Amino acid sequence: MIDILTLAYFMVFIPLICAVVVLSLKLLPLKLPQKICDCANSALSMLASFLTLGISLLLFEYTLTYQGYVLENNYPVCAMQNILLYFGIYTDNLSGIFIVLLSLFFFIANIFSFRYLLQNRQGFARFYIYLNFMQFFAYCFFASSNLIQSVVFMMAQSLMLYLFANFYFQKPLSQENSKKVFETNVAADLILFGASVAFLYFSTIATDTINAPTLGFNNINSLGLYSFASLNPLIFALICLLFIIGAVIKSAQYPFSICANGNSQAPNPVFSIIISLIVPGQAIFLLLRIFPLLNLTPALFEILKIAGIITALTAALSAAKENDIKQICADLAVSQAGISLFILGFKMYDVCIFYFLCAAFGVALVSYTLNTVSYSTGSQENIKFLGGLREKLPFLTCAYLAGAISLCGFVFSGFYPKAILLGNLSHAGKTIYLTLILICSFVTAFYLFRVYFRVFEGNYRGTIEPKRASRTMIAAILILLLPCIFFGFIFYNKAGAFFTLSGRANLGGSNPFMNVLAFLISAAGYYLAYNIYFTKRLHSLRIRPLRRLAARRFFADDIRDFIFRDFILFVYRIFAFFEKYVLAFFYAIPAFLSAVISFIVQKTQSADLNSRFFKALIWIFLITLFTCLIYFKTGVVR
Amino acid sequence: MENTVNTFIYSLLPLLAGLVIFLGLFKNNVVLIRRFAKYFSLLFFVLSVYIFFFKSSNFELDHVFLSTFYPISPFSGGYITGFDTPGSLFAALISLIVLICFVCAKSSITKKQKIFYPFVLFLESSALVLISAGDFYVFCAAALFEVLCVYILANIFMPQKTARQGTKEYLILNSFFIFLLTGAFSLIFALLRHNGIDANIPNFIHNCRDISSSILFIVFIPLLGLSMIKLPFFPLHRPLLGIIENSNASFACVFLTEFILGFYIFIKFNLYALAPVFQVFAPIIAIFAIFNVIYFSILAFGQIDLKKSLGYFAFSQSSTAICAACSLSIQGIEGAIFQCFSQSLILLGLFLCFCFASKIFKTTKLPFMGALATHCPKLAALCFILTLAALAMPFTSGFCARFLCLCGGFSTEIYSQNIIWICTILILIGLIPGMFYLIKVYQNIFFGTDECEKCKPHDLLRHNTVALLIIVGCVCALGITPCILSDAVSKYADMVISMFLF
Repeated sequence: MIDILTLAYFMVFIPLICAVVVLSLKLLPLKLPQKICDCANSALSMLASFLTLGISLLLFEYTLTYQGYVLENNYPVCAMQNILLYFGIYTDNLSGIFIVLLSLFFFIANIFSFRYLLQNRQGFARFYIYLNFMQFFAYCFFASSNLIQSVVFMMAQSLMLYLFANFYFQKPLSQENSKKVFETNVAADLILFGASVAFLYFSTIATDTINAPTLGFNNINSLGLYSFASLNPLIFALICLLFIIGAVIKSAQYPFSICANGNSQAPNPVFSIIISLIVPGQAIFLLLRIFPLLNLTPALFEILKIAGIITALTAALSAAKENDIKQICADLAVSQAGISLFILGFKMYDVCIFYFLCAAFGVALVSYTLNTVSYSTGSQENIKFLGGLREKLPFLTCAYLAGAISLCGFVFSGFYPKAILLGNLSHAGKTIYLTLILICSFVTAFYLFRVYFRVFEGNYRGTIEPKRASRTMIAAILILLLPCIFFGFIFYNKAGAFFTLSGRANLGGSNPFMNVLAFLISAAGYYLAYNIYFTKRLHSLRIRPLRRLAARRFFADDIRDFIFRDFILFVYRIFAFFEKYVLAFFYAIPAFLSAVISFIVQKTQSADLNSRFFKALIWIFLITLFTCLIYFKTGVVR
Repeated sequence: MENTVNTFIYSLLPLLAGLVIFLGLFKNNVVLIRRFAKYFSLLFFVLSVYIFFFKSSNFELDHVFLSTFYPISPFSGGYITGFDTPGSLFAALISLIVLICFVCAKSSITKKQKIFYPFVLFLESSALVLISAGDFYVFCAAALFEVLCVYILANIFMPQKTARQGTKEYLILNSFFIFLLTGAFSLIFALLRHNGIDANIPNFIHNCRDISSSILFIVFIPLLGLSMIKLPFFPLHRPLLGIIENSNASFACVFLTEFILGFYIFIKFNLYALAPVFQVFAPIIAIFAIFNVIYFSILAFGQIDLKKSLGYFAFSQSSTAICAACSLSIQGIEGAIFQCFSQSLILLGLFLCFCFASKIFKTTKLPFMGALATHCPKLAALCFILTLAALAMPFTSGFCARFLCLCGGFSTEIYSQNIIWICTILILIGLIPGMFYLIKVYQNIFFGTDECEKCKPHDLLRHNTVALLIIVGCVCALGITPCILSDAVSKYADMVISMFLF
């Protein structure tokens, strides 16, 4: 009988085994037909993802059944000096639910991928190797038992993000975006890594050896308290600040939205996972894990609030101006991640998880639906050249509407967390933030229905006749549609069961007035989009400064480029000038001096005492001597 | 008798091998010369690895393969040679680097092989003598001979003006500090003999606590200067940069040997032997190191010359190791040695990759390179792994090195703790431009616009592939099982820390 722990390890390593097998199939000279190899790769990967999904459900069921029991196991893998690094599994309710979400998304991606890759039959094996590695790293991250493991696998995931962003490396845009994505992720990883190492040392400052498991999540609370008590508060706050900055960059917050937008050149099936779960999920999960630590420095939560709400608004406004399907999806994801961080900034731990999960389902559904539309219309990704697809693709229309309605918070899953959030904000009297969230809802509703009217209503403006979506793609979307509709309701009613372990089952209450207000504001967004893009009774808004700002993504890329490129180049120019002229001058001084001295020596040894040179030299010497004498003489008198 | 022959012969073996080639035993048979040098280096590398593992498993022995005899003078106390732990480690590393450079020399050194191989072997021999020397004069003589080898090699094989200028300045600066050092050592020599103690380096290290700080300071400055030229530190980096800029794949051994020697002198003398003085200077050196990290990283980022930019990057990486050593904690010193080892391997690999790339494009300017990945997938893959290692990605040696360096930086217990903490945080910021540089360079060479139209791109030759695979193998092995190195080094770090009184 296999115990649950073995199964958990099995779940983590299945993708790795699958990736190794696919890699071996590619490297071994088997001389099988390409088609068979591709099918084998796909089938193997799908089987692996199905198995992991089953095991993750078992694991989640286990954590729910045995409430209060955490599945934990650690293996020491690496000893450096007195630091013992562990690889382990730590599964509580939080990681359980994230692992289920992850498994489900990767299963859907596998279903979706086969048809997608059949389009051009390029990089079949490479895709599945990357996909399985990404899944393996994601499992290692979400199930990690300690902070160091989390950061290590987050760094490894950055590599996968780069590889996927550069999957079609022949495209210049892909190369440029992948570079930016990698740069941003690497910088964030380095910051998080530094913060983790600092915390590793400072949390165990009084002990001779650093005890096992190193920075384990099971005792992060006590480690935080201990270091808070023993450290200089400024240093403790600095460590927490580094964690927050790293997480803000990783979760593609303003102005680092390139982390999500830059992946638009990744293959469609994996793009949806990246934007809906990997990019925002990792950072938010890490912040949730170290929540007890951050809780000791409450002032820093303001950063999360401000960064979150700015991101939510700017990304939503950018999406309202955008015409590219993938960019819209990325902006949608970034906007929702911003709201999740904003919620965490108010220390609403449970609501943050709830909102993030509901948003992840919604974003994934919208993204997969639009990607399927793109597939059906011959890779057309500009919504200006789409339209009238409601009759040709009715199922996709329904799926998109379900996702959009959920994300706008009208009904379905998205309604519950939004209602709770607004209720809590109004209860706390945070009027400004409440207003900003309502504006964000309005813009979200506007651009989601703008896309709907552009893509599914009106007349078809494309050149290629749309084809039917394949059954596998529809099946994948159907799997996503169910949680997008029902998850919120189930979670809301079973919140106690989900959070029993942490004892934080406190979602807060909703305010009926706020719900009605939010509904009306979102409806106004819908109505505006309806009038502009469907009935065309109104022209699109001509607020030029706003349009320009949105078109340039509120200078997010410029700010990022300034921080990561222009500023460094500016300093480089100063240093290069110094290197080229000042340093070169100093290096030239000894040679110059030796040349002058040798010249003088040569002249003096010519023994021509009547020469002008010798006379001049004597005069200079005498004048210098007298000047010195006079100076020192007067100095003494004074 | 067994002890008498071992280290002495070991460190002079490359000299003998070089002489065999130089004196014309193989006449002008290029193939024979190349094979002899290559297989000799292979055997020598195996021997070096054996010495390292022997030393790490017998740490109690102060110096392994100790040789003692009296050929120098009746007062000197005998010519002592022997390897301590980092010495044996760096000796193995130098022999590996020389081996790999010889493997690559097949395609990069097409003329004057009769000079190249012997002088690289002389260089290796003098480096090993410097590492193992227990005698003051032998140490100085080896240092001078080693710089002369660099000078001759660079002068013969690098006709460019910047290289000539660089080698000349390098020789002058090194000679200056070596002569200063000779004077300082004479003072120590006289002092030890005056007290009836055999005047050699081990005795100097054992008795340094009894020597006045001002005298130790006199020794400290030239030693620091010598290591600062070799590592190098701002503003002494220009000569070595001139050499790197004009090197090809086979000359990687020249400047990497210099890095290693500089670091070894720093660890053995400045840090360990002159601990009382170092304790005072540690924060200042750390601040200098941080400045170096930031300065060189930024210069690397903006530079368009491939080899020059790698040179700047190398300087910034070696300063990271120095900053870690300045923390005076066990993890810091261990991290510094780990970083030096890892960085040398990674830089060697990257330099080879960049040399192969620049050979294909017939230029070293980045704007004229691009899209090599489609033509040379093997080179792209191996270079990518090395780039990741330099970026300190997990499961590579770079990650372990950076982890230990940061850990060491935070665990410092010296009196100016706050400075080291701030320096460690600044390291993080300083390393970011370096990372951007690597990503930019990799993308530029292997992706981007296709610049291969005029050139004839060909993937790696077999010997070059083998050379890169060895490096990648070492980098990954150290990343997965860092205990191979850290176990051996930790005892040494412990011993160094015991010299400091907090």
